[in-house]
Amino acid sequence: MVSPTEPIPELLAGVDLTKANITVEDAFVASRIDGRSGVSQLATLIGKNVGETKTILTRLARAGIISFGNISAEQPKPKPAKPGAAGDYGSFIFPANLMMETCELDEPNRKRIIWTHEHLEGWNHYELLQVSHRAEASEIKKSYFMRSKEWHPDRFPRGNLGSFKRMIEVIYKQINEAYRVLSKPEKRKEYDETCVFEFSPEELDELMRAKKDEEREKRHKEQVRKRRLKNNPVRQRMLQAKKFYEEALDLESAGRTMDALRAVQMAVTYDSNRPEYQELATRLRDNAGEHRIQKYLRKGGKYEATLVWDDAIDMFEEAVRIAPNSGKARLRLAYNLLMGGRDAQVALGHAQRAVALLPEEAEAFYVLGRLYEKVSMDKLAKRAYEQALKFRPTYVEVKKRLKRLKWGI
Amino acid sequence: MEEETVIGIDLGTTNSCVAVVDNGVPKVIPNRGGYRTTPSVVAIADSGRRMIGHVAKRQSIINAENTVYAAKRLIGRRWDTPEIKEAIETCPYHITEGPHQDVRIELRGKMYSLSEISSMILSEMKLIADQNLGYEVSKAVITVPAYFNDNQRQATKDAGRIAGLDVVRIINEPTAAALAYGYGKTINRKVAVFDLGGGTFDISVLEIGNGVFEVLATSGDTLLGGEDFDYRIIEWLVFAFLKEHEIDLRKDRMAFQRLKDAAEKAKCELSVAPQTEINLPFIISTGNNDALHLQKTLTRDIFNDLVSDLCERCIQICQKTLETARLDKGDLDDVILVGGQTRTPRIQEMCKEYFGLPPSRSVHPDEVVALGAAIQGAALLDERSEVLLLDVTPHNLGIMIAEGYFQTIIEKNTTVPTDQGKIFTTVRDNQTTVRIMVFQGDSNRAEENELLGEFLLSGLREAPRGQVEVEVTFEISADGIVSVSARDLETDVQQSITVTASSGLTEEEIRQMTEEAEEYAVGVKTSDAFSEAKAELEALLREIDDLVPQVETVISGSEFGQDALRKVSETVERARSAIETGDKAPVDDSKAAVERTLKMLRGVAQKLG
Repeated sequence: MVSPTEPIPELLAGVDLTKANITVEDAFVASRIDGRSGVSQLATLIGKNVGETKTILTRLARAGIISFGNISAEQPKPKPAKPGAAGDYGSFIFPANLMMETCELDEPNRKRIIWTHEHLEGWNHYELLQVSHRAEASEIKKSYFMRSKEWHPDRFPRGNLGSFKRMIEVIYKQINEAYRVLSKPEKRKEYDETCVFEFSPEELDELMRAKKDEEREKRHKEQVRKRRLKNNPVRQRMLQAKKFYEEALDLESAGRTMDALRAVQMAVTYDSNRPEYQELATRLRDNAGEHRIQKYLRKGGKYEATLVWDDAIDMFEEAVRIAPNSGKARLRLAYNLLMGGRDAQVALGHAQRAVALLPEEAEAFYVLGRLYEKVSMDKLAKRAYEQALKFRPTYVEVKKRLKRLKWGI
Repeated sequence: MEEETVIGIDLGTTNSCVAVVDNGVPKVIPNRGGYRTTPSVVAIADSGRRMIGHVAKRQSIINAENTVYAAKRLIGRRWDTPEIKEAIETCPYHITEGPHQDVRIELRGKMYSLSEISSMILSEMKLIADQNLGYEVSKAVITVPAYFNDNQRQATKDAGRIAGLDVVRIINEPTAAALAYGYGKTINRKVAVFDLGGGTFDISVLEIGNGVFEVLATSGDTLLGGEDFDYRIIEWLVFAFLKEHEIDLRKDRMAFQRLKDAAEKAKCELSVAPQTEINLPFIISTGNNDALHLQKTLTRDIFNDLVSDLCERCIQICQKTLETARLDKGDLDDVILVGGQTRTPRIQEMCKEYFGLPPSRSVHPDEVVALGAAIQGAALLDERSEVLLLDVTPHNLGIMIAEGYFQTIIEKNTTVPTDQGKIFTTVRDNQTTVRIMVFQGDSNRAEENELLGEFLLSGLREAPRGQVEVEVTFEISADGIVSVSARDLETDVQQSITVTASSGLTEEEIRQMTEEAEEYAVGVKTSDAFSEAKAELEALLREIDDLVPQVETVISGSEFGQDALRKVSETVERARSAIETGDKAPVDDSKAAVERTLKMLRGVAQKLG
């Protein structure tokens, strides 16, 4: 949609774009003007923002190629004719003082010098040497030799040349400069980059086509990239893993620890590089362990209460195997090993783990103390009992043991 | 008969030649004796009579002290140059200092400038032409070695003027040779002209197309020529004699002159024969009515050995020139040998070897240069002529900038006429005057180049340094005249000079001026390239500043560590002052040292953890 305030650029009648002296980009924009689209539409069409598009349109309007709002064309400068068109100077007016000056030059020579000198600034290096801007090095050289024969100061009489002497030198120095630049590939390239050339219709066509091709290529590449991304197996697996992870989180908060564990394990299988998946899996595994050993703890508890140490030990050993990080299982196992008179060193190991896992459990310290006593490490035992009392000051059993230790009873 | 004719004169080191274009045909004008070349020798007899050419050469042995040869090697040079020092050692005539640190030659109590000596030869050549043509000629094209600098060219032009000639153009010898080679032929070729004359070596590469002769590059050595080849033979003879008789023949002027003649003769004979006898009876008297004789056999092999380094030098220069012309050896269509010295078989072999082309035999090595000069003379008279020569400037032209650096404005091998300018700035706060010192040469130190002239541009507005912009423009006309102008871009105050003659300043004076002129120095306008170089260098310096305190305490403990720290601070200081100059060249120069310093410091810092 065109908003009512937006001026609609229109191509002026009778303008041949291929003859216009504008850059490729501007020409491209001009070629998109259809007399219906507004600035914003054109902007989308050419892939530029509105501001940039306006600048280009203004430039085109000033060049007298399109009408755009109230920007009118600058009075177009008449493009100077090609140099060397001998005898045909159009409506050019030759200054009388120069034509009358006393010097050794005839009228045609005077005219050609004045005319060329006057137009010198309007020509670029190629125009001055009278070659196409795509000319080969050899053509440029040949043309430079021809221009040299026309304009080298040695080609004029040696006598009095008046004001013309200076003009000839200026012209020839410019020719030399043009050749100096165009004869060296790197200098020529540099110059080409700063110089705007007129394009022939074929060239313009070719450039437009190239531009379109380039855009098509770009679009195509973008599509391919998207498609690849979509079908990328690694990405697929990552997405799958994420789904499982989210499911696991849901299941965990619903209290379904075992299902959550299964889900998160799937997530880790699909994507083993995400630390949060790993963390969740560890946490769930521990929780699930506690959950699964409950029945062993219960059974073991029963045996323990009836002093059937060996059966109790079997139960608690099973529990520790299933959930090695369960402090409670370790503590019970250590206690029963102690009471059942099993290897004190093994029991001590479990007790130490139990203390580490349950750092505020008085009973754990008590069992540890007992085991230290058993392996005759009284000092450590004493410290363990003291710890136990710290967490449960009314621990009668502990107090007794401590007293015995103190008095050696 | 009032016919306008321009003669072409090849003013050579050992021989000169004059030619003219007669009805479109260039031809050499023989002298009264029927010889086509005339020795470039001038002598003053007892009677005060001037002798020039063959007459002068014939009497040179008996009148060695008053006979001048090879004056071309001295023309346009300053008194205190090493070339002159060497000439004083080896020349039998008296070389003295002139009033402007220039060189004078004393003959029978009278001082002659080198332009005067050369003018005598030129007037002899003019006389030969006058007598042969039957009317007086007044215009001439004179050739000089391509590698002559502006002072040498000006001095040669002066010589022409003293001889009563209007020198319409000074052209380069190899270019002249190419003109004669390509004249009247419709060819499109790239050719190299290898010009080894009596005193100078030149190499020029040209492209010829439809009558246009474009010089692509030119180079040379103004002190490498046949004379050096002769001198190798003389040395060989002298040392052999010294060994045998313990007498140094160089001390005796007459003996030396005989040696010189014999050496030149032997060299010429070796061009056709595999060996030659050098026989100089009664070369020197031992005092008691007894005399010693010199007799030796010189073979081509020994001779080739004696001069092998000279040949090598020629080839190196050729290589450089082809590079400048952006050509491969294979791009050349022909090699033209010019100058008598190219008759030496070793030189011919070497050229064939290097260029991979047999040397062109279509030109006469002694006459081709004069013919080319005559062709150019004729072309300058007739604007409809088929011939057009596009010559180049053989040396970089530029000015001295702050710190005594040389800033090129017109690069060598630029086709003339041309003009080029650069913008410079003041280097001091409130500097109101700049001194523009014009130099020519290839060194980036101004003092090592040839000073062409100088002038002051004053009345600049007072402003912080770098803010006042001065545009310096160099212009070379088609006649090869250099003019330089400087313009204050703001006020349009302008000063200019046309370089006309040597100002005769010594290197020492220039160096002194370099120091004094700081006050008036100009700096290159800070360009993007400079800012970039400056930024890079400053980044390096900042890192050094950061590293030094870290490293300092550790390494200052040892003597060599302190030494290193001192060097670091010196390097940093130098780099800072390079930045101060506002010129890219010194900044670039100091970068390598700074980088090395930084690397060292980084290494230490890394060790420290």
